[in-house]
This record gives sequence, C-alpha cells and structure tokens, in this order.
Amino acid sequence: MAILAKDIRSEVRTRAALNAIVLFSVVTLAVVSYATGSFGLSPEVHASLIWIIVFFAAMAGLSRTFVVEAERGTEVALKLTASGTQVFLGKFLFNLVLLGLLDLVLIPLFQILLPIREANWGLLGIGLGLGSLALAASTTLVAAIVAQAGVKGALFTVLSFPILIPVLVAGVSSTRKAMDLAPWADAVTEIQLLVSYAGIMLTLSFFLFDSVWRD
Amino acid sequence: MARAWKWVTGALMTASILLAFTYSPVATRPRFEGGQTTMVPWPEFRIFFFHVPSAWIATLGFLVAMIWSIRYLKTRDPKQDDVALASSELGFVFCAVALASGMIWARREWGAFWNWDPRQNTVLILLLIYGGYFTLRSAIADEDKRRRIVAVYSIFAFVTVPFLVFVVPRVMETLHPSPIIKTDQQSGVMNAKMRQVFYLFLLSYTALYVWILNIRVRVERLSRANVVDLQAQEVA
Amino acid sequence: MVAIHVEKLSKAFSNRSVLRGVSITIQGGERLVVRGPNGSGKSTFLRILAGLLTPSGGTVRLSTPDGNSGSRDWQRRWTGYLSPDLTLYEEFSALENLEFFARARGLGRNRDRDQGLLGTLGLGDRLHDPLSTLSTGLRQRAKLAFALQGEPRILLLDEPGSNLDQTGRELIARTVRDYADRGSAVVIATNDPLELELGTRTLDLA
Repeated sequence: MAILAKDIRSEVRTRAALNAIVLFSVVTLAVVSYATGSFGLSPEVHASLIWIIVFFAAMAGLSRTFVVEAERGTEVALKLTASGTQVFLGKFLFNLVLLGLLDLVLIPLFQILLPIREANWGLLGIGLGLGSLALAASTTLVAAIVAQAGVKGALFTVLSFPILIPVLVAGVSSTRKAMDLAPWADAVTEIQLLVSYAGIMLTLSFFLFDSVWRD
Repeated sequence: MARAWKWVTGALMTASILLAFTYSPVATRPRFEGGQTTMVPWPEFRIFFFHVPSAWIATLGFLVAMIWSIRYLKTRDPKQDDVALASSELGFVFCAVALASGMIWARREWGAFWNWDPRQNTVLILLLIYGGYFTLRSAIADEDKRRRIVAVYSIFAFVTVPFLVFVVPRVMETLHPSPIIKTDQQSGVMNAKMRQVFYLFLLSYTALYVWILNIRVRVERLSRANVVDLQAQEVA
Repeated sequence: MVAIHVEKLSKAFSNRSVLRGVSITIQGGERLVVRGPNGSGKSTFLRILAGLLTPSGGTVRLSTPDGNSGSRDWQRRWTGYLSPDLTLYEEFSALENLEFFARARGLGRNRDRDQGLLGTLGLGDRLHDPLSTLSTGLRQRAKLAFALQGEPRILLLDEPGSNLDQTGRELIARTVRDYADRGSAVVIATNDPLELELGTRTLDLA
C-alpha cells in the first residue's frame, strides 16, 4: 500500500506515465476520428478501435512503473526495505489505477469524437473494466522482467502482445456485443474468460515475482 | 543416448514418408454436383500428415521448455536451462513448419494463405511467444540473470496456451463466424490405414525432436565447458 | 548478540569469479573493514550481506540477538545499507523519503523520529526540499539517514565518506563507533586510510 501511495504521489508530481498514456490515446483517437470522418462505424470496427487504443496506450505507459525504478537506481532501496509482495501489489494496483483513469478519460472522449450511438452500457463498462483488470494483471510481471533487461526498446510490447491476445479477443468481443445491444447473457463466455485470465495471471505473477525481483 | 537412436529416427521417418505415399490410400471427400454426391480423390490431404504432428511437437517443445524452466528456478543448475533453450529452439522450428504447411494447405483449400482461422492464429501466437523468448534471451547480458528471467517468462507465457487452444477459439467463433471447415472434420475423413500412418508420423516426429534435442543440449553444454576451460587456462 | 556467519562464500558473474570461498563470522560490536583493490569484490560482498545478491556458492546466515536465524523480514527491518549505487527518490524530500521507507519497513509513521534523525545528520533545515535540489554531500547524508533508519543491528557501509566534507566524515566515524558500542555489527568497505582506521578487524579481499 505504501508503494501505491508513493507511486501515485510521484505521478502527481511528475505526471510522466499519465501524460504518456492519455496523450497517446487522445492523439490516436483524434487521428482515427479524422480519418473515418462522417462514415458510420460498424460495431466491430468501433469495438476494435477502442481496444487498439487501450492496448497501445497501455504499452506506452505500463512498463514505466518498474523500468523507472531500475533506471533511476531506486531499485536498491526498494529491495532493501520492501518485500516482494508489497512491491508487486503496489505496482499492480498502480497500473490498475492508471488504466482505470484511461478508461474514464477515453469513454467521454469517444462520445465526442467517435460517438457510440447506443449500447448496453453496463456490459460495455464491465467489459472495459474487466479487460483493464486482466491487462494490468498480465503485464505487471512482464514490466518487471523488462526492467531487468538491458536494451529495452519495444521489448515490453513484444513480450506482452502474445500474452494479451486472449484479453483483446474477449474485450473486443464483449464490447462489440455491447454495441449490438446484446443482453448480458450473450457475453458470459467473454466475461468468464476475462475474470479467470486475470485471476490466473495475477496468481502466477505473484509466485514468479520473487524470481525476477531478487538477484 | 544410444547411438542407435538416430538410426531409429531415420527408419521411422523414412517409413512414414514412404507409407504416406504407398500404404495409405488417397483420401477422398464428398463433392456435391447436380443433386448427386460423389467421392473424389483428395491427394492434397497428405499434407495433413506433416502439418499436424508439427503443430503437436511445437506445443510439446513449449511444454518441455516450461517444465525445465521450473526445474531451473528450483535448482539454478544451468543444465536445466540448456534443455529449456534447446526445446524452445526446436519448438520454434516445428512451429514455423506447422505454420508454413498450414498456409500451403489453406491456399489450396480455401484460396488464401491466411484466413484468421482460430487454429492458424494459435500457431502464429505460439511463434510470437517463442520469438519473445529469444528476444529476451538476447537482451540480458549476465548469464545467470538471463537464465533466471527467461525461465520465468517461459513459465508465464505457457499459461496462455490452454486459453489460446481452447477458450479463445470459442469466443472468436462469435466474432468471425467462419465458413471454414475445422481440422476436426478432417480426421473424420481418415480411415484405419490412414490413421495408422498418421500415428506413425507422430511417433517419427517425436523421435526426431528427441534426437535433435539431445544433440543441441550436448552442444550447449560443450560450448559452456570450453569457455570455462579457456578461462582456467588464462588464469594459470 | 547479533552475528553474521559467512561460510565459503563465492560469487561469479558470467564465469568471471569475483569472490572465492570467503569465510568469516562478524559479531555484534565489531567494526570490520573490508579492503582490496578495485574489482576485488568489496561491494559485491556487502551486497550479498545486505541480501541484494544471492551467492553462487557458500552461505550467509544471520543470527538475531535472541539467537534465532534471521529471516528475510528480519533482515529488511534491521539492516542498514549505504553505498554509491543506492539512490533515493529525487522528486521527494529527505523527510518524505524516510517516511516512505519507514512504512515499507514496517516502522510506522513517526515524524519526530525521522525529523530527529535528519537533524542529527545536518539536514535539519533542508527537510522539505526535494533531493534533486540538494548537493551531493547533503544527498550522501540523506542516504546515511536511510541506512540508519530504525537503528539497525547490522550496518553495511560501502565507501561512506565519499562526497562528504570533514564534518561529514567525522559524523561517519562517530556513527560507526556508536553503533558498534551498542552491539551492532558494522562492516565498512573502503580504501580510504582514515576509514580503514575505524576498523577493529580487517578483511582483505585482494
């Protein structure tokens, strides 16, 4: 918890990760909106766009939480004082908060630039929320791994993408169904997938984290 | 490993290939024409013998890599990591073979090399995961650190496989309802003789995998031993 | 009495051997000075003692004052570590840094305690300034505060006098003697002649 508070406080002061994420998504959204103009978007395309933006924004911003500690050398102080559990949970929750904020910013923005006319809003929200949860759960360990590597570059994206495919598939599918005004029952498979995936990834990361974190 | 193994492998593979073209009858499939159903020969089906075992071995390679990665994390013995590395390399190659043969089949059958069929996707994603494994290996300089980190990734990434093979295709069906015949249907086409050849192929491929795995692991261990010896000589 | 038991400790990086079979027992109250040329493994040795690195061979065992074996949690609470590769959070002030690490260590919030510590180390009037605005000397003092937080039973100092002025070095010397007198095990890695004098024992890694 202390780590979460510290990271949030640091973020409030420097706004680095938030800038990366929000700016990226706003720009991408603007570009897409401009490109598609007045053409109506089918639910498939619309749903895909939302998730493309979320995915790439996550790739831009979620690795920072570990990479920055490694680059600035504060890793040592953390390893000396905090337990692996504390660090992992703190970073995971921080990434979750970041994604949550992204979602909250993105939906209104979509309404302005690429409006969603009608949808099963509950399902949309849940799909997006659970998808973000699964995203954060899957990528926290990868971020820790990338922080240990030498040349970072696009490593985070390369490693995360295959692991995130189930999340993207389920996310896009549930969002599309929401836009098709489908009832909740139709999206049960997707929701189950997202919840179980998040759970499994989180548990596994928890067990494996120490092996990455401890030299 | 007994020297005989390579002869066994050679024999199995030769037998499989020969039998695929002689013993196994040419597959047939129904054709609907003018209200009548006739069974027409379908020789292209033979690629099935090469394609499916490749995919299975690709998955096996990944599984073996994961298991030995767990063993490495427990023992920190580089020998375990050797096996994980070798298995990943082999799995990668078989994966590429599976993908390529699958694409050839797709082109013949459905006119396009790529169809976003869930099975094709799974093999592609497997390839991407292997790719990530090798990229990660080359990104870490210190050897012990590299083995440790890469072992974690190997274990973590493997968890996605059950999801990709079983769950995701179900979801994708609703996303892209496809007119594509699934591979399960293909196995219904096989009769007893073909099934025998198919299992022989599976056996041969596995033998091939084990044989090359053994060689690769030995090479890795030898190259490591040389480095240590050289350094010892320098110090002396 | 607290003690560090090192047995046949070795560490190698990518086949380059840095420590070979070091065995020593460091008792509370001792001031051990570790010396050796650059690259001889002084820093590596300290890092292993601090729990930052796992050995390639051999063992390091901590015994707590009541005779038990020191767990990881115990180590985190009761070890103080200072070294050039230690960096604190630059965007936070010295006080904020200490408060965060206190919470991480399980020490609980105690503003007076943290302020007091910083005061004795000469940072009393720069408590609330971000570390990025402090000189390297003051930053070194802040790092010392980090190491001394919670009154550690094991104090590991890697080149503690670097970047410090005369007053600062005297501070280090006083701190080292104080802690050893109170029963802590102190280990200093250095090649500085003045610091070498602080030791009651020497470990040569050459």
